[in-house]
Amino acid sequence: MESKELIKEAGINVTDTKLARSKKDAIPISDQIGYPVVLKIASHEITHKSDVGGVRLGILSPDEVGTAYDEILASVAQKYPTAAIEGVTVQKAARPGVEVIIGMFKDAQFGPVLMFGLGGIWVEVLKDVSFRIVPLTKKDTASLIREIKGYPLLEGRRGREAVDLSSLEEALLKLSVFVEKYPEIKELDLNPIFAYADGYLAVDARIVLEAGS
Amino acid sequence: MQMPLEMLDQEKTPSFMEEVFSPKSIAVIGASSDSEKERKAGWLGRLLQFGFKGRIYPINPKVKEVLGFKAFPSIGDVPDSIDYVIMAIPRRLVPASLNECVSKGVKVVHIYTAGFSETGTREGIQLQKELEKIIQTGHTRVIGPNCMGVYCPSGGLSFDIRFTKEKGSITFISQTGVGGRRLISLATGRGLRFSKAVSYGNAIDLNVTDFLEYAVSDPETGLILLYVEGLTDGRRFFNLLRECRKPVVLLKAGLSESGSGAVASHTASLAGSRQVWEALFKQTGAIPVDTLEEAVEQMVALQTLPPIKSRRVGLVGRGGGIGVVATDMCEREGLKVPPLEKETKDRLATIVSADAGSSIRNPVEIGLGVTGVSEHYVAGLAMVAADPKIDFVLTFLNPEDYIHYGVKGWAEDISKGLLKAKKTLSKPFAVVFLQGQNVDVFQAILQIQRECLKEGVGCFPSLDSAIKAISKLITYYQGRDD
Repeated sequence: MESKELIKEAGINVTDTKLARSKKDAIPISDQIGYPVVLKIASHEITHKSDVGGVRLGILSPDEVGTAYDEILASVAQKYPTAAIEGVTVQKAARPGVEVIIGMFKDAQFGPVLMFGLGGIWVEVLKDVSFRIVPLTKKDTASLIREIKGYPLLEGRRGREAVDLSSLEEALLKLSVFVEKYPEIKELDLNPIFAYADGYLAVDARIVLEAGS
Repeated sequence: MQMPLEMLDQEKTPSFMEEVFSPKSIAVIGASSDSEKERKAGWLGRLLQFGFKGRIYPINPKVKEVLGFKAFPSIGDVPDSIDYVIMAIPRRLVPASLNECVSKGVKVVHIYTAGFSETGTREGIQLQKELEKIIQTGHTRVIGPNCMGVYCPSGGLSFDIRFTKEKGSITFISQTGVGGRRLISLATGRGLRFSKAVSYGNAIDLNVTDFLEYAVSDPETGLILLYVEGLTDGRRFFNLLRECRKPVVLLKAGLSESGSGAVASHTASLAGSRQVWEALFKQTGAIPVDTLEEAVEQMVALQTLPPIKSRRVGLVGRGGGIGVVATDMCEREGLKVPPLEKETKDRLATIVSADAGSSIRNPVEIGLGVTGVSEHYVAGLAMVAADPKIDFVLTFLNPEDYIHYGVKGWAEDISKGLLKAKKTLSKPFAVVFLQGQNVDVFQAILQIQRECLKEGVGCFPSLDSAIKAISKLITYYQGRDD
């Protein structure tokens, strides 16, 4: 939640997300956002939400919201019983695109470094990512995107449209400025970002702050 | 409030680089009482033999003079100002001696003595911390400890008397001492000459980034070589490399360290120091090399070849198989070996005898057979160079054949031919002398190589080293904005 607010401030397109602290809250929030919606477990302790059964996609009705809410909590209670749970986040289901990841970590020697690669499940399986030290120039962002092995997927293949690379380049440049401005950010993941022919949308964001910030 | 004040003070301290490389006065703390020993193996001896022109002060409480120079019991007893101190005394004496240097206002101290943090012992680490504290009390700058210090032919300084006094345009900044000495020796043998070199060891004060900052703006430096293990000033280092308009060859040693403990994000779990250094190379244009030998070949390429901005090579040499292997290597390193224009092939056909199965495609086999160097060799090189599809020429020669078959005068023929090619070819070209494992071949190659390098002909000891170095040279020039 807070992560997405911060990311919005950086000028990054990100899905609107609201926190539901109970099943009773989740249904009116979903009604307000409009179906289909996505429910995700909200816990500072859980990084890999899918791994603990903490994500439900394509929810179409208030009834389904209720069922999904119960299932998520039951699954998390079983797979990660010690995790402190804040509730469940509700967001509008984004139209699917090519999944990419943009991230930042701090290198002990060079400070903030940005990462770009194929996102979603691909980042874990293929680890097709590449890095640039902050601050990035326009040349850096262009070469960063083009050097990943999966770049042809972004160019469009088999009748698929090419994604809007310039909007991704712009997002990288904005994040480069953003992480320099906020040294208290220790790590950052925007994963996945759906890349479209006409822009992109970050559907999940995670920011880790430096201890004591 | 204490921190910012200290940092401010640190920033005001001049780095004294003029005094590092061209001091006007040097004191040697720990000069031997035995003049003969000092002359042969001591730092005073090195200064004398290397022709240092400034004032010299041996520091030794036991004797009145060393090698004809008046000795002083301590640095505090020297009546004149001192630019540069070389400290070669047992490590337990180093802190007190450094204290005296700081009090006297010595500008730069090179601590040759080892046995500090690099040992990993508590005592060594403790002693180094003491030194770090001492230098906070004044403006004295320190090189070391645990390092060889400075080689600067124009300043009359060298940590090895065997180094050449001829100066060049390379500045070499090296954490390692012994590796650094080996590199200078290898490079000198390949015709390269240095403006400056410094081995900075444990870097309690002046570090690679300080020296890099100087080299970037030093008018006598045209090419920078860095050997780096650890780095404390990463952002400044990165920014300097980004600004630098001179080629920088960078050997980053110790890349295989493992990742950085517990992390919470995907990004941090995927990142390692290797990926970050790879990013640095792409963003700054610094040229990565993995070994000292590769560093030497890269510098030979940079110093003998003009900027080449595209990747099409014309290969010329005898031996079909060698040519095929060379072609594969070129492709693997991102070079192109395109077919030649029909016009070029027609011209080559007039000088290449097809009956011996020689090829006039690319690679081109020009009559460099067992009977000696063809009179058409240089003409053939020129024809390939003139082809509009070719950006540069790489030729390989196998002297072992000539020696094996007792060809007379081949060495002179090759030297003359290559020097003529250097003057007349319309495109850049480089030569590989295929090595052979016997003394005659080595001797002959060294001889030809020396003559060629003196005239600025790029010579390499293997196809592999030449192709790698040239490919990286092209990447470097392609990445430059100008």
